[in-house]
Amino acid sequence: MWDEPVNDVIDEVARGMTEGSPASGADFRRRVLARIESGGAPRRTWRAAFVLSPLAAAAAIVIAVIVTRGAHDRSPEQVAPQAAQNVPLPKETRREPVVPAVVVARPFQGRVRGAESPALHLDTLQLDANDVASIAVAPLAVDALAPDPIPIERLDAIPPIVVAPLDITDTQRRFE
Amino acid sequence: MSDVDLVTRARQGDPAAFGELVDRHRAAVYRAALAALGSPADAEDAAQDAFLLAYRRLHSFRGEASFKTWLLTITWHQAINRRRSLTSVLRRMVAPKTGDEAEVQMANVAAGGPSPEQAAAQDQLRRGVRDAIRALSPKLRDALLLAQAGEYSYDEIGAMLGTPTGAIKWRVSEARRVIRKRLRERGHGDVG
Repeated sequence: MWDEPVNDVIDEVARGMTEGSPASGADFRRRVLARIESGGAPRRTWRAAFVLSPLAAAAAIVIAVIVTRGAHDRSPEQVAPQAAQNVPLPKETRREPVVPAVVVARPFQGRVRGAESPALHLDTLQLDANDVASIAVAPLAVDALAPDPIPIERLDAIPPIVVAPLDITDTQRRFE
Repeated sequence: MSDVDLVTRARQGDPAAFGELVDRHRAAVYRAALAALGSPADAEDAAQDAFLLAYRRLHSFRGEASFKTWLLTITWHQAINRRRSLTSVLRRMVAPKTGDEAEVQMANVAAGGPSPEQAAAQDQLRRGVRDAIRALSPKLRDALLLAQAGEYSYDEIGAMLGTPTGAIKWRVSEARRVIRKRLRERGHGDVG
């Protein structure tokens, strides 16, 4: 029958799919013992990389959003006096330009045995909320709107409507 | 020296004893990992991790099962955890295909084996079987690959997978049936 020879092929192919030995061969034992001696944990570097990469990106985005919103969210009371006078800030109150946040994420080092998990380093994060004041935008000069008056014709006076009282008796008589 | 003796010595801090256990069982551990992962690189990493974990848990080995069975159970869990990881899935998706079919065909020609037509048909059948094995559900595929690896008894496979031995035998048989059915559907019924 067809089944028997095909079963043999299935078994042969399945065996082939699990055939082999560690590529490191004799080194395998040495590597295992080296990891035991170094107290290395089972490798989870893939996990660290997959978790930390999005975190680094998210952190950079959050910092950018905070810095941007800080400028836009200033209340009118804070902005208006300067804007109305259109006077530059005195030199003493001027602040240095905002130093952008520097986020340095070290790249994943690959599958190095015994390597430590890659870490996210926020080397310098020099931010000051008050620094936002120096990027106040000058007010826009807008001319006042003065449209011409629209001429409207006067309507004729409507004569009063005279309403005559109903003759109730005639109506009653019609239904009788 | 038995595995239990080596375990005792390893517990007492003899690294050479554990090294001997590594040498004895590395093939079985590697093949179990390969059955679960399908990638030699992943299998080697998983095998190393399994030995490392086994060393740390040596105190919990009570000798109720053989050391090999205990070690294979750890290996299987390690491999399955790795299989569930995204990186492993991605790597398998882009893994280059091996050229073993071509090598078999060349060997047949060199050895004066079957005719090129027969060899091509056999090659096609093998490829179909391989695809059908890969398309099996994990439960059936794991049971079939472990059973055919030649390293484990059904009892050991049952212990590894946490499944009764009878269920393992059924899965192997069912896996073969499903593969044959798929081969027929693909027009392999007149081969063999």
